[in-house]
Amino acid sequence: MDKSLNIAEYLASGQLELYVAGSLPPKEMEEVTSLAQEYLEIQAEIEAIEKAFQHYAGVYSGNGPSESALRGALAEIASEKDEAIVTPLNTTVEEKKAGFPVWRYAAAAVLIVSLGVNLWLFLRWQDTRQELDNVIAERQVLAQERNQLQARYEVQDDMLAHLNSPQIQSVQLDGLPISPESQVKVAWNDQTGRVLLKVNDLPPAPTGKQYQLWAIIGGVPVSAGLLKVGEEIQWMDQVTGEAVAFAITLEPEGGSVDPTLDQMYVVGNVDVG
Amino acid sequence: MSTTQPTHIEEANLVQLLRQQDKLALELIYQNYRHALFGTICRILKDERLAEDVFQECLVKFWRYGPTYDPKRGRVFTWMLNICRNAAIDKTRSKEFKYQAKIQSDDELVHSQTDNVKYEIPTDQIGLGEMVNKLEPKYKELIDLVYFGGRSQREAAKELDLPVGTVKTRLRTAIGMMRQWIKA
Repeated sequence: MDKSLNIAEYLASGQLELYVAGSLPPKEMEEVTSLAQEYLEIQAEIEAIEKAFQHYAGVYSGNGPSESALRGALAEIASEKDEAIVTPLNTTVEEKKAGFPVWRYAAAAVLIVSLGVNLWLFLRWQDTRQELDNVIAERQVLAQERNQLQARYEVQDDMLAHLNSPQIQSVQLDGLPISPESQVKVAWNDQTGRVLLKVNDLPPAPTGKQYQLWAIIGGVPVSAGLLKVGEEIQWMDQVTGEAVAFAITLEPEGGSVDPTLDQMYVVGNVDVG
Repeated sequence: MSTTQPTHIEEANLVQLLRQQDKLALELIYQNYRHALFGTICRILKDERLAEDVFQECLVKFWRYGPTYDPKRGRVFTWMLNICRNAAIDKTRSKEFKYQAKIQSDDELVHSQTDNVKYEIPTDQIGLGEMVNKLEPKYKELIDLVYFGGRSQREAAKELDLPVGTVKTRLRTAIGMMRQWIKA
């Protein structure tokens, strides 16, 4: 009587619901377990509670877990069993000896190739820079040459224009007994007064001496300037007025006011008419 | 339903298989407890895909820790329930779950009237879905805390600001209603 009354109270207490949920302190959990072994009513009640909750929780399971979860778990277990023996062998032997160095060699190879390419590019860059410097220098030389040629062309063009001018008087100066072989030509523009002189043959002036050109105007010699040494064709001073002849004398360096007549080398008359 | 429930003898069998780390134990668990255990995980995670991952993890744990199960300390179902709850609660702390939960909460703004049942109810369990909806919030709350949340009687009492005695009787009433609905 006592026993059944106690059990009914016990069943109604809510202790078994907590037991199924696992929410009792460990000591009470064990207490219920041993009571359930002793009393079939308690055991049956526990199973009924469990069943009720399982149904309730099942409502949330939707379509339930797929079988792949079970298969996945079984596969995991199978590999876990194997791992214990196989994995250590694989990792220690293969990874340390083969796996890591291959990776290293690959990295080293990439680095070497990279260095090689960089060096090649650097050298090529150096070459290119040198070439560019050369081209720039060459261009400067060519520009200088071009300027020189341009200047020379302008001078010659000027001379040519002078010689082609209709107002030009071309005077041939021939050698006198002091130097019979000497020959000089003078092209004189009687309008502008410009005088162009060409030495065909004249002995080199001794040291301290210089040739001087004279124009004879109205019977009086007028200096037309000193001849520059070593120049075949040169412009002389302007000659204005009615010049009838041109002559060259050898004078002391710097020239003279009056010609030294016994040192006259060449002379030529202006062809009038 | 009774066909999917293990008999007393089958349960003893299961304990034996777990102790021997026989993978047959997992097949037996899958057959007989999958809805209850998976449902529990789903209730906690509210995400069926994550729940399936966790359920698989749990099956492996059952096998791994099977030999440590001590029948004196509670039912084998209680032991499995505890493992599932802990695994699911652990998952709620993961980044993956937090990301999913954010998406879920955005989703819930649209489907807000489905408060608790977010899952399709299997055809053979139609009517049981109603059982969840019929359960008054104060009972539902308590079941959530104690069965799904794994709270001790004291913790549940403190959280609900109720005496321990009230927690126990209310729990008794909630389970009692479920039992009635199953019979009907």
